[in-house]
Order: sequence, then structure tokens, then C-alpha cells
Amino acid sequence: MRQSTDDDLETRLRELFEHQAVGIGGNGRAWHDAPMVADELEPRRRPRARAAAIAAIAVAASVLLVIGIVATAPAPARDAVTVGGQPGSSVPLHFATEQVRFDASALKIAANGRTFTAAGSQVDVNSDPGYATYQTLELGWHEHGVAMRLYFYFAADAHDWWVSSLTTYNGHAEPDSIEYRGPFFRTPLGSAYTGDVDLVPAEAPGAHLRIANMRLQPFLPPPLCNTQTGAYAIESNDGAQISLDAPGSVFDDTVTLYDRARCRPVSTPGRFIYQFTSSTRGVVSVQGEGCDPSGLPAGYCDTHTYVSLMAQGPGRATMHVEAIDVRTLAVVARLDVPVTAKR
Amino acid sequence: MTQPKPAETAFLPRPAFASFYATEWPGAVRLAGLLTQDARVAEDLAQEAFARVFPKWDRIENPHAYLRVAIVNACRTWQARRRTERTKLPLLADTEASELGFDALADAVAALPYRQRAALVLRYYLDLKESEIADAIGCRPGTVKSLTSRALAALRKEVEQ
Repeated sequence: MRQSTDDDLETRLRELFEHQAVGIGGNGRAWHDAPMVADELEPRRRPRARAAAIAAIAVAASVLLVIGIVATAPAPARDAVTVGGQPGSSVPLHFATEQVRFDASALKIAANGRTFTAAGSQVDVNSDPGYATYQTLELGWHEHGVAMRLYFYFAADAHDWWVSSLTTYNGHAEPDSIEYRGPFFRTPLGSAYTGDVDLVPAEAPGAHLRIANMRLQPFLPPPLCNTQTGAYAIESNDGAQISLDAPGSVFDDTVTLYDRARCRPVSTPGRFIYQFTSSTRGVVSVQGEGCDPSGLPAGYCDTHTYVSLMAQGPGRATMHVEAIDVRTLAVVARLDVPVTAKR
Repeated sequence: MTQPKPAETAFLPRPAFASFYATEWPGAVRLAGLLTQDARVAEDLAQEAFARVFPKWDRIENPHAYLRVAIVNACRTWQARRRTERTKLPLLADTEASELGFDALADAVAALPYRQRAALVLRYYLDLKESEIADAIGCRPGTVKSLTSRALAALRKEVEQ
């Protein structure tokens, strides 16, 4: 029933946007007619795409590490590592983020008649920290003159994790994704899957993915279990620091309460409520919004509570978060999140 | 030693960019209009986005994606400056729109927080993948899921009232 309702709404949204787009128009115009001077714009502001990329990298809190692999060039401006297989390397491929560890002795992606190994390539390594039942490991590089990606999408329940799907690029200059549909590698939480991987996608003839001696572990315990004290710890899921745009801009964050002994989200979320306060209301106002499960992935609201931050004026402030046990009304965990609001 | 280019030709558009501009202009205006829900500013914001692309034309690997990010960001900045003022985007044929029952849905879309609306527009108008939406908005794919779900939940609530 819910699916039917969602489909109806999605169909109506498509129709609405199509009608609105026609109404907007956007009649043809040539660049020479453009009312601007291009060279004056360059120094005004930092390129937005780069700013967005920097923000995404910072918020993702991803970490780039290579064990047994040596970077062969000065550190690049963007986060990347060189994959080699240098003498003495015990593990030719090692990628780690705060959420996921991946080791393997060899990688071969066949696509568009070529074999991609990432050897000698600068590899971007990121994870979507996701939530208790969703994370990613995202590897991207250039090889044979085209972009290649290897993305792992992880899922979990209370006991196990698995890879719900893998995607690579198809080896074309204008790349599209090849999907390897799981589930694969079901393994108890807290443990790594080890083994060889040899997969053929359902809908891409000639493509295959081989990984030798893979050791893969997502849902790594978050560092907060070591950095906070007490029986519980609070995580701000959208970053240890929050940056807001001009006054009036809104940012939605979520927080998760962890049982530090297990370093997993608490198993009885209904036992806790949250109090959010701003140190400086002239800079940022905060409003706890709970979690409405409508349309969200199953179980999402067990581990996420929303808070909405609105910039009021430029400056710095702190969002104080307290988790309260409703049975005792005792504060069981606290977290301070620095907030910066721009002009 | 390389001779400096004459000032009058230094910033003339290369044919490829002029062609890109001519081809992409209508779509850029429409995207800006949908993101802001304000047709009056759509051309200005689209123009601002193209102005971001032009100086980097030689170095941009994927100009379509770069332009999309520039539009999303230009609209976000405009939205932030505009604060709480909200208007509903006029439809091409208001009569037809009323007959189709779009009024309540259009109001609800216009009232969404910017990032939620952007996620919907990029998904249901441009049919982008989750990863592409994440790149355009500057967030993680998981956040796109959350933004989309919250937006749909809010729309459902408003429309059903």
C-alpha cells in the first residue's frame, strides 16, 4: 500500500516538474548575448564545484591510508593515494576509511574490452558513513584514459553485514555504471569477510570483477567509543563541525546514541530522548525534530534523531546535545558540536 | 616567449563553449527555475552558473556535471539570501494545472527546505542517479536518501491534508 502511494506521488511530481519547466521557458540565447564579462568572475569566489567537493570530503570524514604502498609524488591537492605493489609490500591493495577496511592482493575489472587493475593510479577513497544498516566504500581512479570506479554498498541487520551491490564503470569515456547485484559476503558484524571474488554482472556481457585474497570489513566501530566517556556516546552524523551558509539557511543533522560497551547504536532507542540547545542563539537556532519513519528505510529512526539548525547571524556557536534516559531523567551522554555561520 | 593574447580576444568564447551554452541554456534556466520555484530569477542564476563554467572550460572533465553543480549552488545561495519569502512557481496553464490537481502539490514543493526540493528536482525532473545527486548537492549518497524520503513524507502529509 505504501509503495503504491509513493509511486503515485512520484508520478505526480514528475508531471508537476514537467509542467513547471514548460512554464519557465528558457528561450534560446547565444553566449555572445550574455550580459556578463567572464574574466571578472574568476577571482570573486572559490570554484563552487571544488568547494562542494571539499565540503563533501570533510563531512564524510573519510580517511585515506595505504599500508605497504608508497605515494610516488608529492601529496596532491585532493585526497588520493597511489596504488603500486612496491617491493616489500605485503598487501598490494589496502584502502581504509573510518568505516571500512579493504585489503586484497590483486584487482581485475574487465570492461569495454580492457582490464583495469588500478596499478599505479591515484585512487580516491571515500566512504558514506551512512547509518547502522547502510555504508559504502567508494574507490575511483583513471586508467586507460577513462574513469573507473569500484563502489561497495553495504547493508546490515542486527547480526550480520553483507554487500548489497557492487558497481564499476563500464570503461567508456562517457561512463555508465555496471552493477553486480548482491547480496554477497554475508558475515557477522565485527568480523571481516575473506576470500576470492569472481563475479559476472547480469546485464553487461564481457564484464567481470575479480579480487584475489580480499579481506573486507565495513561497519567498523566509530572512534567516538574511545573519545567519549561513560556508558553511552553521541555521534553527530553530519560531521564533527557544522558550517552554515548565510543567515536563514537551514541544515539538518541527525544524532545517534551508542552503547559504548558494544560500540553499536543502543538497542532500546525508545528509552532515550534528546535535548538540543544553542550556545549563541544570535548565531544559530536549533530545534529537535525527532524522526518520522514515513518513507525512511526500515529501522532508520531507531538510530537517528533529527535536529534542524538555522543560521541567524554570522559567527561561531556550539550546539549542545544531551541524551536523557526517560526512566531516570538522567543525562547519560553529552556532545558539543561547533557551528560556524557565514555572512 | 609566448606572446600575450590581444586584450580584445583573450576572453572570446571558443566555439565549443558557445555551442555548449546554446544547447544547455534552456535546460539550465528550467533547472534553476524548478530549484528556486521562481521563474523571475531563473535566467540570472543560470547565467551565473555558465559564468562559473566558462573560465574553466579547458580543464573541466564533465561540463554537464560541473554546470549542474554550479546551478544547484547558485540557487542555494540565492535561496539563503531570500530567507523565508516563498512563492509558487506559475505553471504554463493554470487552468490545466488546477484540473490536474497540482496546486496543493506545487505549494508543498515550494515550501520544502532547499536541499530537499533540490533532491526531488534532480531525481524526478533530471532522473539523476543517487550518486549524481549527491555530487550536485554536495552531500553523501546516504544523505540523498534521507533528503528524498523526508521530502516525500512532507509532501504526502501536506497533500493528504
